[in-house]
Amino acid sequence: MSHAHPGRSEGAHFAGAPAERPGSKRGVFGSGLAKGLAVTLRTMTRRSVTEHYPDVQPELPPRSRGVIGLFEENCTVCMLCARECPDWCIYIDSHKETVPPAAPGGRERSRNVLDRFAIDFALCMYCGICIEVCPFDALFWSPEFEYAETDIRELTHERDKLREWMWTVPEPAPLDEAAEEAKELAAARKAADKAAQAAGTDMLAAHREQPAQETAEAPGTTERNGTTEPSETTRRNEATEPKPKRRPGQDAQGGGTE
Amino acid sequence: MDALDVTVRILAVLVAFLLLPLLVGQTEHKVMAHMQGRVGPMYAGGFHGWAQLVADGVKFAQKEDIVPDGADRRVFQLAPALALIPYLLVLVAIPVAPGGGVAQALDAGIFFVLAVMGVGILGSLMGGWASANKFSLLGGLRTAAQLMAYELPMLLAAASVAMAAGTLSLPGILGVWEWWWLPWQLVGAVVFFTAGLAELQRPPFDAPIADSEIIFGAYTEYTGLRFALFLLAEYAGIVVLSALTAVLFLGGWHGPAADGLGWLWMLLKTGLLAFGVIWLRVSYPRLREDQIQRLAWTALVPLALFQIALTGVVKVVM
Repeated sequence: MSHAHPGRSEGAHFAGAPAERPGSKRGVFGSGLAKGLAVTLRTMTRRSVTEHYPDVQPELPPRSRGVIGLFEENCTVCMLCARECPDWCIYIDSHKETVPPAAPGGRERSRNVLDRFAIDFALCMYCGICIEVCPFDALFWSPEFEYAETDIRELTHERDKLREWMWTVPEPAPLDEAAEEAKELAAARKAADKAAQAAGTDMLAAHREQPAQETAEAPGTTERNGTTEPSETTRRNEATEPKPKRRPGQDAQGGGTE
Repeated sequence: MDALDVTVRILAVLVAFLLLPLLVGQTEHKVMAHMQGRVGPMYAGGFHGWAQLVADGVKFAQKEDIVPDGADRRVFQLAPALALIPYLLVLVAIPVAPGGGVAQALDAGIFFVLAVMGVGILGSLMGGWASANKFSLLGGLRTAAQLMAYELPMLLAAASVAMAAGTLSLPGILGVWEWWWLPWQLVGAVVFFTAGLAELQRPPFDAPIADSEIIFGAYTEYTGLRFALFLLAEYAGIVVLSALTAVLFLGGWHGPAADGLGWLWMLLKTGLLAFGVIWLRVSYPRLREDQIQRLAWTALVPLALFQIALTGVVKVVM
């Protein structure tokens, strides 16, 4: 073939090359064709890789960046998340409240009360910096992803919705057997021990005054440790809010496939 | 042959003509999907998308029928019918069961079948020429070149079977068929099937359609029902080609308990060949225009001539 077109040597060479290959290198003539047929036939007998999404929930990895949940009991309105956010999609409003002295003769304390916490998911680029930067563990990734809206303005989700997503945040992976106790647990135990030592009748009231960060706990760890639980988390467990409807990965098996 | 008998036979052919291509089309959806690790249509009709092609048909019927301004109106509108109807006519002459299991037994069956199948290609040529579109014209020209190249080996391979049987009638060929014709006519079978694929413009011989280079070849300007008719013609062509290959080379209704189950054997062989058509489509990339011509003239024609020589030698020696 290549000798027939001396004028177009390059193109002709290209056209002639495949014809020479099978005999010289690739073994028997036609083995490549047979291999092609074998590949498609083998694929046909295997299970397809299609996700049957609307029928079957996808099995997402636990660290999926689906949506950002707000554990608002932990938020101190420090504004770090809003300031670090690269595209300014976090809106926070708050006001200051004065708390009466804990003990008679003490002085009044002031604390921030969260009025509004909203994330505009039309702007959010899911970088996760707000979650990284939060010193009080108030923001978490949730694998929940079904929150599309028909209007872009409705993608600004307020605190109640963000709080609801906290129920879908998966439990953190268990620590290694020989690992040190988690810092949150150590802090919680220390606080509990201190409270037990004080043994005052007004123990609960004393607890309420403690800043939230001391008793902060990652969600889901409370069920596992047997220590006295700080008031924050107790409140959370007894809350009447609905349980998460569905946790990704639990009901994502079987059904609907071929 | 009374009127009732004729009516029943024509109706049977019509039902087969309307049903089998859809069956092949649905099989193609599913088989191709699974060969690519997908699942294919899953929703239409509820169970694994069995009604996908019905839904497609409804969709096509709803679309506006557009004829381009510069098009040769009559020819443009007539082309889909001309592409489709020949395959209906061919089905009339294909025997499906022993002892009169054919709508119309023709003495020169092979001639009739191959001639009428060739007419079907004219639909693409007409569409390509009448569309007033350069892509359509390119597709039409490629179709013409392909028809010229592959009609010859196809006819030669069919002629080999006719020589072996000593008759041109399709039921007649099946009447004298023996199992050892399988290896004897093997080369001819491969040539016939391959050439048939090329005539149908099925991948890997779909350069005349080649959606990634010339839009959709001769069918570029078609919409709605006329486009659907072209698609239907493609699948009817698969059925006809598979059935013809089964009759000529695989013994048609021959098989265990052929008297009662002959039609089943015929359907089974046709179905297997149709599966092969789909399988080849999924497995191989499209041949370039020059490769298509090279394959026809340097491989298929010599192979077909070799088959005829072999048939002649065996015939004389025996």
